[in-house]
Amino acid sequence: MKARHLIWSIVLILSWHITSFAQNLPAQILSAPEDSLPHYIEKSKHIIQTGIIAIPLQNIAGCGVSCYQRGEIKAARYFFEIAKHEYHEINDSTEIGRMLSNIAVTYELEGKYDQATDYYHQALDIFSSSGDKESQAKVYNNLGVLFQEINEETKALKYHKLSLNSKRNLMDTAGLASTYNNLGVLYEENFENSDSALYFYEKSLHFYRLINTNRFEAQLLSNIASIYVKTNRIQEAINMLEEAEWEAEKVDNIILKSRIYKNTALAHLKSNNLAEAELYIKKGLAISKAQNLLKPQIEFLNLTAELQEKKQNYQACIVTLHEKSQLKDSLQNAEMNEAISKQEVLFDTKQKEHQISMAKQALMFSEYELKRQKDILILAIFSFILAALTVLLLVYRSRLKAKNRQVEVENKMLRSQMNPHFMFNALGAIQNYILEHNSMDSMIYLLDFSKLMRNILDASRAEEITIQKESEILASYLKLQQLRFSNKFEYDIIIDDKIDTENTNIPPMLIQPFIENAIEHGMRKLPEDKQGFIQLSITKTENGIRLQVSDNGSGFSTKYGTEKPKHISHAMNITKERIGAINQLKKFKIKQHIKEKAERGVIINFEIQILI
Amino acid sequence: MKAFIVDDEKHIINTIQLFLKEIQEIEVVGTAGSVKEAIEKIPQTYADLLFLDVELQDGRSFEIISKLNHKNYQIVFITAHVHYALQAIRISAFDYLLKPIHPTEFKAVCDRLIKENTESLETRIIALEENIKSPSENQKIVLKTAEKHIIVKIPEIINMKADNIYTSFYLKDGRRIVVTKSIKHFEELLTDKGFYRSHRSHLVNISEIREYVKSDGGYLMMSNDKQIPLSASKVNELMNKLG
Repeated sequence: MKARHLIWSIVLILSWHITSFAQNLPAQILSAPEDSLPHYIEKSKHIIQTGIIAIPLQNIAGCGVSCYQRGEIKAARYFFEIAKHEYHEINDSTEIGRMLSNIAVTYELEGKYDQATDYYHQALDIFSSSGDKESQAKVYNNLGVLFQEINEETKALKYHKLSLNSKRNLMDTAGLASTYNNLGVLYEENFENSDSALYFYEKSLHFYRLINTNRFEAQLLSNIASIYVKTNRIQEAINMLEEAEWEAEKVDNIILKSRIYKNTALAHLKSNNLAEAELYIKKGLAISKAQNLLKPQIEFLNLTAELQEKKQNYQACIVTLHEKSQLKDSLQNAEMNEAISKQEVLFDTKQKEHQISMAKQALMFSEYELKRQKDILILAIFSFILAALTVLLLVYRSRLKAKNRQVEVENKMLRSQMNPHFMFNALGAIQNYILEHNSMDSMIYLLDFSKLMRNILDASRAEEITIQKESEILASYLKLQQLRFSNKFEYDIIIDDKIDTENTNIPPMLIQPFIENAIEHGMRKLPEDKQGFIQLSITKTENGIRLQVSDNGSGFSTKYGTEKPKHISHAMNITKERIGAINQLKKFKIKQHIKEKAERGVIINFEIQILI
Repeated sequence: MKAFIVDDEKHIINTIQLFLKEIQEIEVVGTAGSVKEAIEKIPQTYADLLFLDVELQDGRSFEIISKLNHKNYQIVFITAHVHYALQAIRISAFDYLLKPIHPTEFKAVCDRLIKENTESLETRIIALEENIKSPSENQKIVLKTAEKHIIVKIPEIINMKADNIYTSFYLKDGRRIVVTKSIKHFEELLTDKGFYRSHRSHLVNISEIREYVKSDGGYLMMSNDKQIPLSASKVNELMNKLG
């Protein structure tokens, strides 16, 4: 018995499920009109969809495999057709190739060799373009088997050798085992060289046992046994067949079983153990009748006739032969078709071989192309990785740079906020307050001062600060400035009720330089009789916070004086830089608007978007 | 003495006024909050002592000095923090006070001013004005001796030698000037102007060093052939400075 390869697309996941389907489905499917494939597909789909559970795509192919193993070839093909159709939908060319090959196997088993070769070649095309060497090797094997069957031994040998080479390269032990088995069959049946056949069978058995697979052991044992029968090693043959029969029970393959029964019957006939022979002939007839397998039936009828002849029961012998010829008649059509099909295959293969030799050069070129493409691919991947790394490094570096800039700006900010001019003048103001007022009030100012200094030091190191803290700092700052300027201005801090001041963070001290500006610039130059006013408001916006400073001071115009004091414009530059650095860190997005009021003073807005 | 106070922070004026109440020799004849106001008011008051805040809202107080016609003023500068102008004030041998003003320092400065003669005030003011404007190399230093103030171009100095609480200056023209200030004071003033403390009691002008002699424990040969000892621990540091 030859080993044909079904290509297992994917390991069968829900094997229990498939088994249950395999038992129920084929009968239903087979009852559908034979010539309408779409109908089968629809019907099977319907069964699958309304079945116990929806079956994943790979399990449709799995059902096919299952049917094949049970010898239900037609049903198997329908499943493969459905699977192929479905894989077409999702454009999975590899799986399409595998299904084509599997369909070819089913045609081959039915003797429709021309269709089989057609499908095999389609499959081969797909595999060679996708570079799937493993599947290619399997198709070579199957083609070898096919040519073996139509007695084209040289071609069979050629394909088997192709297959063997591929499998050796791929270290495909299981594949090697089956090809050796097929070579054995080729030498046994076609070349009638029992020695060589036995050599290959044993090699095959060796590989199967190497990978510890029992699946084909029965088949192989049966093959070896048939040689033993031929070479009159009857007892060894019978022992082996017993073992094979036992193994075959496990795999539940009718064709295999009928083979084993036939060989066993032959062995017993040869050893004139007629009772045993009869038993196996009857068993074989029963199962081949049950599955409506014509060829095995005829073979068993032949054996029956032989047996009856040995029993000298000529009457029965004639009846059997009559039965056989009737069966043969019904087989006639099929065999005729088969013969025609064989001729077509021969014609086709000649044509295809021509095409192949033409294509070979193209293939060689495309293989070279493929190798080149591979090289290019590797190069591309390598460059991609390199580029990715470079980008990563650059991103990291720019992050680091941004961070460094942040630190730098923070330092500058600290320096500007610890503006010595303000600090020491504020201390001078406190000193004067001490000289002129009571010590308790003076102490409060001193404490305000130290609190402000501490908060500024803390804030300059922090990336963010709660609104609560920020407003405290600004309040103590305004209070001290008020002291310095002998109450030349009033101030007010308004915080939106909707803000959770304890839990909302903003970058610290953004607006402080502008408050400083409003005081040092706007308030100082206010005429003696004017009362200054500064309002700080913190409001909630759609996606963040708005800080606003509004004053009624002299504004930016030169109406009340000359240029801005150096440290003030300096502070504004730092703020600009700071905003840039903060925005780069993507935590906040800050926009700054400055405008002069129509009547008097300046409004400064900070729109702080909180991004994270 | 008649004092005039210029500061744009009212509380500083208040504080100085309070302090001056304790000093009978000095009376306050006027105050101003800006350069403009000071230039207007000072000539009318016959003031001879000016307390000047360095940084004013509308300019620097040096502007006030240069705008005043006669320059016979004692001047005390007041500043909130140390900045470049302070350097010029110090090498021109003017007094200064830092805010907030320390009462003891204030008293000491006033006491000294009361006793001091005013003869070279004008040249000192000119030196100050030049020092404010000119780049650091060509600045002039005012050396206060027992009798007078001597103005010296800094590059003219070859070296200084500490002599107890006095410091001797050796100039290119061969003059030796003895000043009643410690070498430490001049080291502070002159280090960033190309001078180096080669020894506990020696300060040298680096550009006037002719050679470094290793024998006899190592010394510097200056352009006027004087040998200045160089501490062994300072050889490397000086060589680095010389490049």
